[in-house]
Amino acid sequence: MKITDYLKEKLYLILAALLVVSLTTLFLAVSKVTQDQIVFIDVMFLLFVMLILFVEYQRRHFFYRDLKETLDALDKKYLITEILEEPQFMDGRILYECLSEVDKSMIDEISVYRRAQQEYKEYVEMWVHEVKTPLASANLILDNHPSATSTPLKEELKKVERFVEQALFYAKSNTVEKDYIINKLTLSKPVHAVVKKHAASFIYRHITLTLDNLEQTVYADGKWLEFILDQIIVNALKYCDDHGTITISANKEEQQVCLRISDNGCGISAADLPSIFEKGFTGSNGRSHEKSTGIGLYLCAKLCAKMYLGIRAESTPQQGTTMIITFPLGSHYQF
Amino acid sequence: MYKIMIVEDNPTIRTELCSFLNHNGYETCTPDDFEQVVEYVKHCAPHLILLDLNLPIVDGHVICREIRKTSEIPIIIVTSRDSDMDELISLNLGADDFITKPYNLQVLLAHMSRVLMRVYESGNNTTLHIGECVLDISKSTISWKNQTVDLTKNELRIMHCLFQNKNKIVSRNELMQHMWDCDLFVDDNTLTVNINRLRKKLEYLQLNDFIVTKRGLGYIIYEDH
Repeated sequence: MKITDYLKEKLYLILAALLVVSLTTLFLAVSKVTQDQIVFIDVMFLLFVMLILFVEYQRRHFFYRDLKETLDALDKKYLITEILEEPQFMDGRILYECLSEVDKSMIDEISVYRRAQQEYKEYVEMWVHEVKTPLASANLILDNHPSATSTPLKEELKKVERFVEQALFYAKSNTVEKDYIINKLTLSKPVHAVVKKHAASFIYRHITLTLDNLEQTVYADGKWLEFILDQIIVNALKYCDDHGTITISANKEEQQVCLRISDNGCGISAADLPSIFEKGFTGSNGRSHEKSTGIGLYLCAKLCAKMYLGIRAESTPQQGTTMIITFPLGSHYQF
Repeated sequence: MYKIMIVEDNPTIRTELCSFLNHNGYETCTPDDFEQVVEYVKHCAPHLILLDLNLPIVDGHVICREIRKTSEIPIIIVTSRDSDMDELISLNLGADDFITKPYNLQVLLAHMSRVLMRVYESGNNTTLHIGECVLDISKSTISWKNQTVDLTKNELRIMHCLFQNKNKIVSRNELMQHMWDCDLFVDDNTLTVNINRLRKKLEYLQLNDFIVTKRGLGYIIYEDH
């Protein structure tokens, strides 16, 4: 609150005071009061008005300055009344009460949605565990009664399992609270687990897998990282031709470990490349190949961000794509 | 023959798992009253228990703890609850192993035989025989008539797979799948190279044509070589 703005607003008061002073002066002059007395009375009156103006300004100035500063510093602005001191002047108090009321209803509203989201997440988690039982029995039935259809059916079941897993991570990625544990782990472990899951695709499609220098220590949640790698490797397999090559390598740089997953498939066009991590983006590859959902990479980016990992893509059309995940190593990331 | 007790509330999984284990040379028994599991264990005296965590009436963890009070029977937890916490609690309560659903049946068999071997066979059975030819897995060697050659990791896995499937054709894809399961991510060319090297080593042992190629089908080792 600037003093000029304040005075402009209180102009009517100043004008009224000046009017009263001039009228009083006129009246006193007519009543033959001495000049000294007139000046004294005028000065006293003006002082009185200025004092009122000054005190009122001070109160408002401090309150609104505090309000603005706290508001700027606050991360969740709707919690402002929790911090603010109640003002001592009337219109301030009215403002304060209104704000408190608004805040309260906002907090109630938020907690309704937070609870709903939490319940939904718990439901999805429970559902995922429930659906795994019939999936396991379907797999068992296929194993026990091998026929010409069991191999393709098992492949389809695997796809269902992947989508189920994706739903679980989607639900997890949207919750506020942290439900992952960042551990020290060796990159080869999650990479081996994921490529083993897709061994059949690699072998039947004669795709060569090269692993290089994966004995690097990084900090991440193992299950989350496996999910991210799974999405990336499935993409690599999808866009790779038979007899193609997929290379997974890591190298340690000054402040980070870079994990690169490269394929020599059809690549991503330069126009699509900046958008691949957006939700629902399918691009020209998603339309020309098997239909894609545009969820996989979006989830990857989201989960990476939660674990403080970097993820980006480099690609040359018709030559291949490289996905790069970076794991920070700096001392401020020690857990 | 080992007797396996399957504690599982889903009837489809229970019957299918039973028939799968029966096919693979295990005897099975399954309780269907989950309040009396501990008594059932005493009565049935299995060598190994496959225990689900989500059971009606009593939680799997409780059963695990109750069994551990009276016996040291190996227990493998098989469950769809895959959180770290469940795994931690299970192992702390005395379970021997923890596998999450949906699992690969071959992996389940491998875990079971590992646990059974550790508990009942004190683990010195690491050689496989075909006729006079001996494959020693712990030393990674193959020997015939007092002569021994060392095998590399890849060669050992190839021989292991062929030995386990003696008198049966093993396709190149099956062979590769077996190697991938052991963290050896080989491709077609590597497999060809490995097989050729392996044949050279076998020739050195005077075992010519030990591994027979079935064109278009795969490889086979005959028992009566």
